[in-house]
Amino acid sequence: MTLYGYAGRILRLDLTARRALAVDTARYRSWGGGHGLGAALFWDFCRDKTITDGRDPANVCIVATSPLNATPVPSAGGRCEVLGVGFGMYPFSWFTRSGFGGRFSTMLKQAGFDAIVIEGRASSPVWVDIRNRKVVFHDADGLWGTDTWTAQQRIWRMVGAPCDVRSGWWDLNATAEEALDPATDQGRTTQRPAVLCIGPAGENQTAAGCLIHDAGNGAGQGGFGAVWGAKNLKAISVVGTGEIPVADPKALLRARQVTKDKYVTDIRQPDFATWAHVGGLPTPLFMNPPPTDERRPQACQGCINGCRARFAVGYGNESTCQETAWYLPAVRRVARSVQELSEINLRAADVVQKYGHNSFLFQTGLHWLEHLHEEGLLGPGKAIASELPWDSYGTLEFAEKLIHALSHRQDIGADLADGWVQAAIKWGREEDLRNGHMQFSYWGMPEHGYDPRAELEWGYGSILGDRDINEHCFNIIFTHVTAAFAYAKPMRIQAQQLVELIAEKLSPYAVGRPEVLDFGDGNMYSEAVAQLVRWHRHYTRFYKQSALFCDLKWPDFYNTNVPDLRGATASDDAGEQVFWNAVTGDELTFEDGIELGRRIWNLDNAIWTLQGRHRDMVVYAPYVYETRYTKGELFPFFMWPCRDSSGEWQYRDIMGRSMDRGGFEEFKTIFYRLEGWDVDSGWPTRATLEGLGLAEVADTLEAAGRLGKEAS
Amino acid sequence: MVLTAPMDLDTARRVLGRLPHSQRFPVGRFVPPVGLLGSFVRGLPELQLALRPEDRSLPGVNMVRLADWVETEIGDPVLAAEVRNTALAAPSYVEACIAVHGLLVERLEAARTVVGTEAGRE
Repeated sequence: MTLYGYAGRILRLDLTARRALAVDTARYRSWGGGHGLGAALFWDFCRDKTITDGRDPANVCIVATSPLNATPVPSAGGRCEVLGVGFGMYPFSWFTRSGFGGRFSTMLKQAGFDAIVIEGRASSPVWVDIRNRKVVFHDADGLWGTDTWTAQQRIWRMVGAPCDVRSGWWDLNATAEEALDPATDQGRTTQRPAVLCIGPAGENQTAAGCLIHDAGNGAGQGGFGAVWGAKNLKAISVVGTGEIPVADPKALLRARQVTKDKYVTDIRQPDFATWAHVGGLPTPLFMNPPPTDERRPQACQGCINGCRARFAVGYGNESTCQETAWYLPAVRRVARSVQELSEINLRAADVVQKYGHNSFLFQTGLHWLEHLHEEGLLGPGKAIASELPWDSYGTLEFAEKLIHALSHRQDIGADLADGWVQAAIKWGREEDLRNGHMQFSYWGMPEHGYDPRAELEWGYGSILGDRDINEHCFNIIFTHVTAAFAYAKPMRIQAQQLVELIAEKLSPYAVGRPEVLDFGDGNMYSEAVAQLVRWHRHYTRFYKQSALFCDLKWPDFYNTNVPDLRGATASDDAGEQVFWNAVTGDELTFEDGIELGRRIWNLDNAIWTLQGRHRDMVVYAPYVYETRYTKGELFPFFMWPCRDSSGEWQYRDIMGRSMDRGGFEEFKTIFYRLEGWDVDSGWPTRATLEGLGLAEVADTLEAAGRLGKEAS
Repeated sequence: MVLTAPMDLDTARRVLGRLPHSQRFPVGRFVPPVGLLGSFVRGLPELQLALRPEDRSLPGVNMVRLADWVETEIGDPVLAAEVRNTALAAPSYVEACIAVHGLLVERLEAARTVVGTEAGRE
């Protein structure tokens, strides 16, 4: 029977034995793909689910694709999910996730695999060469110690791939074991292998270690670079020439055409003030002035956006989002022009890409280091000894030395390598988590830019889960409203209409309940907001992290390109489930996807429970409770739809408040009750798990003495 | 215009100088979809870069506090008054940022002329 949307096999890499095995994907079909598939594989193949250090050889790291990868589903074809126990979080490193874009997932599926399960630990550094179904382990002697770009270039040369189209075709049919089907024309490609690899930050097992693919795609959070480093795995290279069967190609192309015609801004008459997600104009994601107008967009496979850029100047290529801004405040100290500001900043982006170092830690972390230095606590001969050239802070030279030290466990990197909060405790700086100098809000991770005291769904989702969620489903409200307010432009959609439009899409928990979006002071800890958080956790676990719809474009709740303002999400013509069904042949409703997300979320919680989680641990850093989100410091206002005392909806400023400890505890109780979890421990109950078809998971929790008690 | 009035050497040096960390001024940046990024500046040359107009992000500045900081920490009451007036008169926050950025460019140029150095970093 054809598994539409799937390659059909899962690759197991036993690094200890240097052996490759295959498992039929059909066994895991009910989990969808991506995170769901990966969590199920972790459950089956990780024998010790109590580990909390991802460098443990027992850890299993999964790289998982979705049925939508390698297809033209808008902004879903190129994402890839990474799972396993992480490293460097606080107080424990949970079973966690990360993701990256590009063309790796496409290549992996075209080579014949839906996922890779990485087990054990190689006795010495290795890299893995996948050419269609042929899998070979190689010693990584000539690769270990190289940066991520050098490693990829060397692998391209070693495998003999054409490094540009002019070099001609690469014929995998020439070798019988690399051929898919010599009788067909499926063995040729002009593509280089897609390589996923680590740099020095991962090799030296630092918490900042990333997985990097091509120039700028990275799985940053979770410390998966350190996980690979501990496993002595430098890189996985894959080239595939196969195809992925699509159940209903006409339906797929029809939905894509509807997206273009109905939901997306007409590029011939662009609406630069569009309020939409999938319908917005292509959004470049480099966060500082482009060094030149001579640039072109670069996109993940199948994407309609193209958020990265390749610049004629040759630096900053393919970096996006936070890594193009990590050094920006420092560069202002030395830059004499906007041009210089841009060049140093983008070259610093290249530095973190090459070292495979997670720049996100610097979002609030760099200010903390600077503060310690300026207060005379960090530097040569200081309490926190550092020989880095702090006097040249802001220069490219300093950025290179800082990243080198942190990636090699040198200087302050010796302490920061095991986690930044762990370093703060070692340095006797716990007070900085209390006074707000160190804004690492949850699980040892920095605040994202959407403060948990204002943007409730972001903070709650992060602390109730495993990491900074980095899911922009709802914060687009803040973006649109705040920008309109800043420009003093008329609101494209008034507050009440906006929340009512969104609430139409929040099936099954909050459909028709716009009050779930009221983030005003009186509604912060309510059952209504808990329902929104539930919907968000379940939606993202399936649609974003398993189906792998890109966070930048989905969901599309409201859309000013459409006369009735209703966005594509959950719609009958181009909703997420329409694309899923066209590819897979399923008859999934939008709500079925939410329910599958709930199943996946519950499996995740079962794993966290086995790792040792208890509700008492689910707390923010002290500064979230003990200091206010200072009004006007980062921006003059943080606008959000709220109800006033008479129940009328308005856009209001919600900056300036703190989180109440007791209020948050009440919120947790409400949330756990709604999820069917033990309100005292936060552990899943048998009834909830069995209701999701997870009786075996309940058995395991019970045997471990960690099954939640049923509500009386 | 007030800003074209002669500037004394001490004021010019303060305009071009860098304050201690303890006297820093918080500035943010509104960067969809990354969020509100926090940082701070320690002088007007940095502030000029922080307020630079961009088409994908907005500077985050509290204009009232900025005027106070320019007056009390930088020590330039003339510029502070202009910042106050400009921010009040601007039809929107964004236009206030653009106008204040223009004031800074002008003030820094004037200071460099007085000090007689292009870079202004002594």
